[in-house]
Amino acid sequence: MKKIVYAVTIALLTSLFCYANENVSELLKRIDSVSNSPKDQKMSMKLILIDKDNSESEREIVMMQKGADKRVGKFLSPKDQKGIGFLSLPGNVLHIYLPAYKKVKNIASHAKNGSFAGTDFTYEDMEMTEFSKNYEGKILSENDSIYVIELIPEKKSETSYSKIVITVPKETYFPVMMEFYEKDKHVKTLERKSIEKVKSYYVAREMTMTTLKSGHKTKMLLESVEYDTNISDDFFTDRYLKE
Amino acid sequence: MKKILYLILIMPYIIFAGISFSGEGEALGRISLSNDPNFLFKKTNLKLSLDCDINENTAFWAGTDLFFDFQKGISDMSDLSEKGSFPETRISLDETYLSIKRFPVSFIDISVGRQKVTVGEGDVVSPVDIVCPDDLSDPLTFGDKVAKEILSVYAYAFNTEFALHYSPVFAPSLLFENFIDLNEQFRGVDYINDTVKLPSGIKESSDIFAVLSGDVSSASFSVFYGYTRTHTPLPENVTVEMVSLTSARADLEFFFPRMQTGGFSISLSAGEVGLWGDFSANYVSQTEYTIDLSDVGRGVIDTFSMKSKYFFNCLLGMDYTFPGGFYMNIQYAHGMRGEYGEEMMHDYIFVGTRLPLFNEKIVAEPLNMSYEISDFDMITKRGAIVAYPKITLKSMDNLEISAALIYVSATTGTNFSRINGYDGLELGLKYYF
Repeated sequence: MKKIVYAVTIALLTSLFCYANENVSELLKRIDSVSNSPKDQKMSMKLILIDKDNSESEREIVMMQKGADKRVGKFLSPKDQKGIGFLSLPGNVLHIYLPAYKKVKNIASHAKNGSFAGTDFTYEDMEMTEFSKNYEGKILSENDSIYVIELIPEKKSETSYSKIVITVPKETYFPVMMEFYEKDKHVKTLERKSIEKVKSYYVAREMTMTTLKSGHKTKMLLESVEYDTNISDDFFTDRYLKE
Repeated sequence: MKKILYLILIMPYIIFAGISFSGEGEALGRISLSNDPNFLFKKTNLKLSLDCDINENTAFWAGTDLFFDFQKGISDMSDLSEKGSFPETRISLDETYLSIKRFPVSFIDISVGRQKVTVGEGDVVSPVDIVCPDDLSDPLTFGDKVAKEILSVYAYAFNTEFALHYSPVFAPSLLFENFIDLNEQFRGVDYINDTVKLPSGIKESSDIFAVLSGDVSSASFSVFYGYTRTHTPLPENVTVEMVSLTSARADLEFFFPRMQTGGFSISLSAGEVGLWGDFSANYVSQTEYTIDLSDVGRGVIDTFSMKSKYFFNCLLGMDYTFPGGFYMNIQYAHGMRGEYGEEMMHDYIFVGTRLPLFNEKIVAEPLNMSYEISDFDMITKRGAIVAYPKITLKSMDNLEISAALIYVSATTGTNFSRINGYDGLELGLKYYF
């Protein structure tokens, strides 16, 4: 009799665990589908780098994204960074174009945790990521309006973060806050504000990445965005980076 | 005349097209730290560039370099009353080219004019980067190129790029003083006259370089072939004559023989480490020359500048970024710029480091160094080391203030021995606008 009780209990717990996992997995897919739902998008952004003493400097960038795994960006200002570009492609491929050397460089996975042009974003942060494919999720807390989900990278995932905790409103499934951890130490926080719907897609007009140790911030202000304009694949090439 | 022609060509675009101007001003001085401090090297220059988008697919780029030397123009009393001597100014035309995208068909781009084209995967240095000659005028700056008249055609298909660079004008490398020390090579000869023979006619002056490159997964590959010339001169004829009973004169003729180069480059990630390599096989058409010693009673000697007409060179590199953003790369090169022939080639290890601090407001490069191995059997006794730690302050956008220390220790017979005693302090300022 005891054995039967054990077996039933284990089966019940296992199925509950699987159900919970399946739920989180479905939830992550839904979050991915909201963040990556446009077929393509073109954005102009202003990056404001803010020191601990509130002194500011600015950069301008244009970025294009196609589907969930192609992204290309170019700096327009300041003058000493004009023309620097990056290209993120499927298979964890990241190319950087440095106009001073006229060379497109392959960036190895270790370098992706380096600062992206002096901002609080890393090259990895500028890449596309699909949470459902690269992370295992666990709901840490939940109330009527939000989920707080812990994301642990899968072994195959090439990321410098040991953990990401995201806060997702149930109404939009568009993450409003991300806390990045390295070796289980909270190192950076990304906040998304002024979220609005453009052409049925959610977009944050303002994103602020804060490095906790230095207190340095990078504010990313969205100046313009266009969705589903059938951006050609030609833009996601080294040829475009060099133009 | 050439400059005026360029200006006439670009004038309609200046009037009618969208134009942006940019530039950079740079002042750099290296001061020796000996008992008698002096400038080892100094430059004050202003680069002015014009970027003109004629239409969506056509752009024109023009750049000039203005160099100033505040003392060089003064040599006699009359210069002190000559306004043009204060300072001496040199203007050189940098890259000036027209770039046409998607012409005549969508998968072809063309650019024509004075350009700097770089090939190879090496970081800053690469022995296969031979489309444009090197600017070696600054012995501590690697990777600078001399712009050259080139017609480049790029064709793109199936994630690969085919580039063909044709130049009808030969240009040699720009060398720093004493790059080829003739007094050392002709010790005992009192007078040395040298002439440098440039290839004549378009056929002889023309270079062609073809590169096929592409990506497979996260790796990049390229294969290349070049029909070019050596960019530093080799001797063609030497005549030694007695000018008196006790003194001799040597007449030297240098030339730039044809060179064929073929090879490949690769760059990839292995785990968390970035790896790259450049490999090339080279063939020099003429390496023999004669030394005419008839006048001193020894007849004509047949000799050679290289034992074999074939030689190989390569570069292997790896990089890694440590937690905290400390970037380090190490490169090994067999053969470097201006070295032709197996017996003339040395081996080099280059270390580059970069530590961004305070969100890149300060960039420290503490372990930048080069090590030259002239003879593996004598590695502990012969060689050269150049250390060049540097710190750059970028407290404002577009402004860089830098300070570096220079340490050179080289035994004779090494290439870096040309800059022995170059120890000093470097201060630099650069502004982009």
